[in-house]
Amino acid sequence: MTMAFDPGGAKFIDSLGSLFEEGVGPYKVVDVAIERHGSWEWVAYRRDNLNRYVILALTELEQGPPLPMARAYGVELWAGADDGQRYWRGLVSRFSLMTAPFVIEEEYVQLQRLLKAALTRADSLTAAELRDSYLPPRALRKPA
Amino acid sequence: MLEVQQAAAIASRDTPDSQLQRRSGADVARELGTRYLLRYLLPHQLGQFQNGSSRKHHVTPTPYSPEETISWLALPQPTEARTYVMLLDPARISVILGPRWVRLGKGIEYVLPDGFPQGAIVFRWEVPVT
Repeated sequence: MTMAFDPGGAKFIDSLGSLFEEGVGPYKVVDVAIERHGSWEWVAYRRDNLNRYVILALTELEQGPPLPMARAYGVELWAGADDGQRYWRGLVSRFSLMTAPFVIEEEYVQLQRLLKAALTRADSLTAAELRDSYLPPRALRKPA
Repeated sequence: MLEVQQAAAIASRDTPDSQLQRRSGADVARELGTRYLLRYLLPHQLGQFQNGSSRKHHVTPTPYSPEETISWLALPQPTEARTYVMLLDPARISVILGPRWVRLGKGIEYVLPDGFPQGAIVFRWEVPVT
């Protein structure tokens, strides 16, 4: 697929969202381009014995490209899972790309490949890998 | 699904925005007492919201160090510390959703579906976090 991005990045973000939604297979997209403390996120989820997540994150980088109207972004794929009490979240891959009015077919193909890797990682997570614990609500804590 | 903790009902991590409690800013301000809502920023975002913002924002009532912010709020780009924060007065914001536990993190978040007015910004400039 050949894609040309607008300098402002709006179509770029739409393009990433489309790629994510089309690429997550049995996962259900639950968040679309939400902005959290400086990064955009797309989140897809599925549930079997664990809640499994794949997250695409986009963060505009401080060190922009030396081209007028272009923007540099950090793109990340995360995988995660939880069982309601314990969780794990890990970075699967990261790369930088630049938006400008030019073709970025290679980056698009790369992103498809990395999304598959993140799905594979999320699918492979086991309960034994959930090493972090969610904070228990105070009402549910056992008395001292 | 809601989990009851003291007076505040904190929504579970899988609660979508559309099912979060829709509350007035005054209501959330009473809940938080004297605390503000915090919106962390990357350095290059300084000044971006000085006139307020009409887009959706995620905020938290909890102050974190730059190192803690990434893991407690489950933020991406861990190499880019959120070294600045905007303090927002919830009483000056018309609509607030939440609170909700952060998915794959330990923090709590609120959602500002319509953003926040300039009048909600406590200090004129963003505050550095050290």
